Amino acid sequence: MSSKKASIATYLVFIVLGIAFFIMARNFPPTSGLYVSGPSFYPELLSAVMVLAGVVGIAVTLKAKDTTIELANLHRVFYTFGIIVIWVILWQYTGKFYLISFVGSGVMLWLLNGEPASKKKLGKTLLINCIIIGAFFLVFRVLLKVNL
Amino acid sequence: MFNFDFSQLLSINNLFAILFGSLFGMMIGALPGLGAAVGAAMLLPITYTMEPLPAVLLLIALYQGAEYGGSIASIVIGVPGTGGAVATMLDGTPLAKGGYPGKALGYSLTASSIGGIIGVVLLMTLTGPLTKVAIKLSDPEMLLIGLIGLLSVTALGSGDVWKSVLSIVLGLFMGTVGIDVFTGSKRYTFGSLYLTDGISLVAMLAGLFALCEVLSMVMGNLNQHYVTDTKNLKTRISWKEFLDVKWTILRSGLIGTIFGIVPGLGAGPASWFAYTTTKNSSKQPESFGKGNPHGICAPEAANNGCVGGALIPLISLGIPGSSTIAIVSSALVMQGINPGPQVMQTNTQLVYGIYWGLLIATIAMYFLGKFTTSLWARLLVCPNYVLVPIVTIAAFIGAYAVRGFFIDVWFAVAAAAIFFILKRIDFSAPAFILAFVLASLVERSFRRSLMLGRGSFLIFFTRPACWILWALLAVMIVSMILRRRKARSSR
Repeated sequence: MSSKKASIATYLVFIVLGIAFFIMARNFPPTSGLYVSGPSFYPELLSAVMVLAGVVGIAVTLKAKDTTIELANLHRVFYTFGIIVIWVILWQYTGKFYLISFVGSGVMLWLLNGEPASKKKLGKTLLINCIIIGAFFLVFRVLLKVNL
Repeated sequence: MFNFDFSQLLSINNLFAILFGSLFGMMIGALPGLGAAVGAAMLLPITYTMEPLPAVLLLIALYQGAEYGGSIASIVIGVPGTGGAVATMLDGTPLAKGGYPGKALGYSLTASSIGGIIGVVLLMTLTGPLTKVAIKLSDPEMLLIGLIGLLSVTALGSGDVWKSVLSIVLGLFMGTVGIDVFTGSKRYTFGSLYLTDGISLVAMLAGLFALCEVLSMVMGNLNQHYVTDTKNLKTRISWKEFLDVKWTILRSGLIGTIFGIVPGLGAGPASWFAYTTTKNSSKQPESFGKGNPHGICAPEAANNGCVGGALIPLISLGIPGSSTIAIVSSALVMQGINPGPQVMQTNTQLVYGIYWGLLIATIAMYFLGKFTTSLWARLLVCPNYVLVPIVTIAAFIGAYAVRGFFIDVWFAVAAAAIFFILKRIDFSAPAFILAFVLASLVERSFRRSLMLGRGSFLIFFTRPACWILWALLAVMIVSMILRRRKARSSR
C-alpha cells in the first residue's frame, strides 16, 4: 500500500473530523460569566489546530517521497478483529464473561495455530484454553472478586 | 524521606506486589513483542482492588523487571524483548554465541540493577526540589509545562511531525468529552449518560497497548518457536569483570535517568545514546558488536535508569515521563490520587513509599533475576499464538472492571482498530496517550489563566517564570527544526 495515499487519506479524515467537531462545538451553550470562556472555546481552538495540521500535513506529504507499507497476513488481522467484536457482543448480551471467553479464546487459539487440523491440535487447544481461562478465573473471580 | 514509616512498606501486600511485579515484568519483557506498557495494561485491573501503595509498587516493579527482561531475549536468541533492549543485542548475542550466555546475562542483570538504583537515587534527590518549584507555579506556567511535555513527544519522536501533532490534538480532543468543569455543559456526549464522565483512560490504555498489540502480533509468525540453548544460562560475572565496567554502568545509568525525565524519550533512545557514547569513548571501539561487555552494560543500565527518571516529572509536575508511567498515573487516579506537586504534601508517605519501594524492587530484581533468568529464557519456546488470547482477555478485564460499562470495552476495541491503522502510517500512540492524560491539565490551566488575565493572552508573557518556559519551548522548536533539516540533508 502507498504510504503517501494512506497518509493523505488520513489527513483528510482529520480535516473532516476537525470541521465536524467545530460545528458541534458551535452548538454548545454560551457562557454568561465575565472573562469565563465558554465550553466551546477550547474545542473550537483544537478543531482549528486539527484542520490546520491536516492541511499542512497534506502539503508536506505531497512533496515527500512515496514508500510502501508492508501489510503481511492482513486476513489474520481481519478475523482476529472479527472474533474480538463478536466476543464483546456475546459477552454484553449474555453477561457470562468466562464462558464466552472460553469460546472466544478457543476459536482464536484454533485459528491462529498454523498446524493442520487434527485430534492432537484439538486436544492441545482445549488444554491451553482451560489453563488460560482457569488462571484468569482464579485470579480475578476467586482471589480478587472482580465482577465481570 | 528518611522519616518514612518503613513498617508500612514491609507489609505482606507490598512485598508480594514487588515480588509479583518483578517476576511478571521479567517474563513479559523476555517475550518478544510485549513490553512494560503491555504488561502494565494487563496488570492494571488487578490494582483496582488494592491499596494505593501496593498498586503503584506492582506496576513500577513490573516496569523495572520488564526493562531487564527485554535483554534476556536479546542475548539468548538475538530478538529484542523490548525497544530498550535492541542495542543490547549488538554485543549480547555475540557474547552468548561465543559460549558465554550466562556471562552476557550477568553483565545485563548487574548493569540493569545498578542503572535502576541510579534512577531511584535521582528520583529521591530531584523530585523534592522540583516539587518545591512546581508548587509555586500558577496556571500560565503549568500550561507551558504541559505544552513542553507535549512538544517534547513531538520533537523527539522519530516520526512525521504533523502526524505527531495530530495524535496530540486527537488526545486533547478526547479529553474534552464529558462535562465541562467550568460551566457544567455537556460536550460531545451525544446524549449518552456514560460519556458525561468522559472517556475512560484505562479503556484507551487497554485498547492502545494491549488490543492494538494483539492485532500487530497476528501479522507476524505466530507459530515460531524460538529454539533456545538453555545451557550456561547461570547469570554470573566476577568482581574483576564488574570493576572493568563500573564507569560505563554509572555513566549510562545517569544518561538513562535524564532521558527518562523527558517525556517521549524513554528507554529506546536512552539505550542507544548510552551505547554510542560508550563506544565513542572506548579505546577499542572496533571490539563493539563482537561481544564487548561495555556494549551490554551501557544500554541495560540506561533503560533501567529511565524507570526512576520517568517517575520524576509524574510526581513533581503530574506529567508522565513514559507510556508505562501514564498507566501508573491512571492507577493512582483510580485510587483517588491526582499525581502532581500537591501529592507530595497530601500523600507524603505514599510518595516516600514509592521511592523506597522502587529501590527494594530494583534490588529484588537482581536476586530474582539471578535465580529465574534461565526460566524466562526457556519460556521463549512458547509460541506467540498462545499470547494472543491472554492479552485479549486481560485487555477486556482492564477496560471493563473500572466502571463496569460495556461502552469502555467498545472504546478499547475502537481505539485498537483506529491506532492499528494509524500506527502503520507513522502516527504516534505515545503522543496520543500523553496528550489524553494531560488534556484536563492543559485545558484547565489555559482557561483559568485567561480568567486570571481577564481574557487577555498577555498573562502568558508577563510573568518571569513564563519567560524561562517560553525560552525552553523556543530552544526545543529550534533544535527540532535543525535536527530535521540535518536528517533531510543527510538523506
